[in-house]
Amino acid sequence: MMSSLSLRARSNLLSAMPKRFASSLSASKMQDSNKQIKESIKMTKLDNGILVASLENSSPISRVAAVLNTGSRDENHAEQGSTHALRVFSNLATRNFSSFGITRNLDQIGAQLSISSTRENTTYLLESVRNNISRGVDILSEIVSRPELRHWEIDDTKSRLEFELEVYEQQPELKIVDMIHKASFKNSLSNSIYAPRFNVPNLKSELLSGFRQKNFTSNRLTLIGLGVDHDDLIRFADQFRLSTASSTRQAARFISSELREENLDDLVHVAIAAEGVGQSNKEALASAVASHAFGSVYNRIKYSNGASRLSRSVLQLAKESAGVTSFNVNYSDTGLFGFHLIGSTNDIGNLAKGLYQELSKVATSGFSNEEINRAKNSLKTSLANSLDSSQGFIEAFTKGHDHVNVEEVLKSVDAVQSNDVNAFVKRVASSKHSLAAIGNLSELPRLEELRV
Amino acid sequence: MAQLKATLAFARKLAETGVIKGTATQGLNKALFPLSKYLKYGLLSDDLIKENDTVREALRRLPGDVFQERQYRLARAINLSSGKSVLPEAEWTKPEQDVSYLKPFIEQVVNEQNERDDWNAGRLQ
Repeated sequence: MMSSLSLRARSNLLSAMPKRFASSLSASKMQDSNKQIKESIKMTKLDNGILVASLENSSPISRVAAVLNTGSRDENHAEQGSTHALRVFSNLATRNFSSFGITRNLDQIGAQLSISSTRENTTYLLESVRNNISRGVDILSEIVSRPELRHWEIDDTKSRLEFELEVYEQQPELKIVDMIHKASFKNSLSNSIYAPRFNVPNLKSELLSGFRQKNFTSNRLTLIGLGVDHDDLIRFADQFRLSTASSTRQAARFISSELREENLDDLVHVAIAAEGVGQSNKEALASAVASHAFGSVYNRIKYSNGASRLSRSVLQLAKESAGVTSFNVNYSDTGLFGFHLIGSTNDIGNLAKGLYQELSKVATSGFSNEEINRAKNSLKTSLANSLDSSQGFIEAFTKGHDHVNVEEVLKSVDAVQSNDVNAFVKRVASSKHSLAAIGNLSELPRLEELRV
Repeated sequence: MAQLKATLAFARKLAETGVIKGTATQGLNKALFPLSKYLKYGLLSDDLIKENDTVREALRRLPGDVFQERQYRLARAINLSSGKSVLPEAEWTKPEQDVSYLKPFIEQVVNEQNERDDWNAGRLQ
């Protein structure tokens, strides 16, 4: 749901293979270490710009993630949807492997290869049993650096792209994420991570190769290995030959606008956002705490409305079932902070007005210390939870190399000051907003009318 | 040269990537070339390959304009043969124009089928 707003679209190249959980190599390692051995991350920056990082986590499954610092924000107007297309076409033939060969080879070694992309990053993740990791990396490096993008294979696979778009269009909770980005940014971050229908016929081999040539460059590649020896990983990095062009990224500009999509759905989704802060901004943690203080997960107790600030105030205004949460995303240079409302046609107007009243209340009197502490605990739990999983670790590492040490992260959350959080909310309340809405909007006032 | 432009350009691209080695200007082909009849109809040797499933799949993979030129050449040749005439000598296929545009695709299709058969029979790892 909206709690993970930096939407990540995944495509699994294989259906789940039964994973073999014990490799003899790591079993003996586990027996030797009775106490918790804290391994640290080893990082090397290679001459061609590739950053190699590895961490030993004593897992029987090794993971190698090739993370490219490019995503839908780097698409220009003609290239819209290229990241989606590359995501769907990632299992097609490469220079040394046919599509069939990729599937069978991965099957044979018991590995799983998946690709997921956000607006800023594309991650190719290989998970395999420790002993077979080098064979898996052969295939991974082929897919990342040498896809052939043959025109007949693309034509044959177009239907899969269209299927994904059909599924996407049935889900307003996904569409509202793209819509609020489109309403909030003038360029770059306004691009959806799904291909726009009008551009699907143009997503052909030459366009996709051109996009890859410009954006899939060595200096944007990070190789993260979990459960992989650091020297092995440096050797593997040699197989990833990408173009050495240096690419500049367009700065994202926030704009206040309104995007409404009307249909007859009784369940209306509304998102309201203000400009947030970037990942490296000192207010990044304050923005996350603020989001948790408002209420950023629907409820932790089944069948309840939750006891968050928004649930207790705004949600009470709804006569039929509804949901209100806040969201916060931090991209590299900017961010989005806002609220996601779900309600019935007749309720949504009151919910939106109630939300603005609550927002101005918090802006004037601020959160109490108790609310801030509760929010900090909630944030710490979700950060620690995410760092516990390898996917979460990889995401955190791409955001910042210092975001992966659990103790430091928890300490920095504790160090957030209430004044900073309240100042952030005050700024959000008084700055420009953008609005996106989808559903039966007959009772939803315009943004201008809501803000009085 | 409308019936050959795209094919020649395509073959040049293939030759650059090392996929095809040469045309009818080498060895035995060079000797047999002037004795063959297909060149008098303006056809290339790859136009004459008998159609079966593999060749059909290879034809499907041809770029659009190369495929259309092939169709044009075949239609023209059928026309000529039904009228029991041939092209004027200036328009006969020259040896350097007899590029092998379809054989690489046929090889590719055969290799893919062999890979599938090998895996299914358990001959590969």
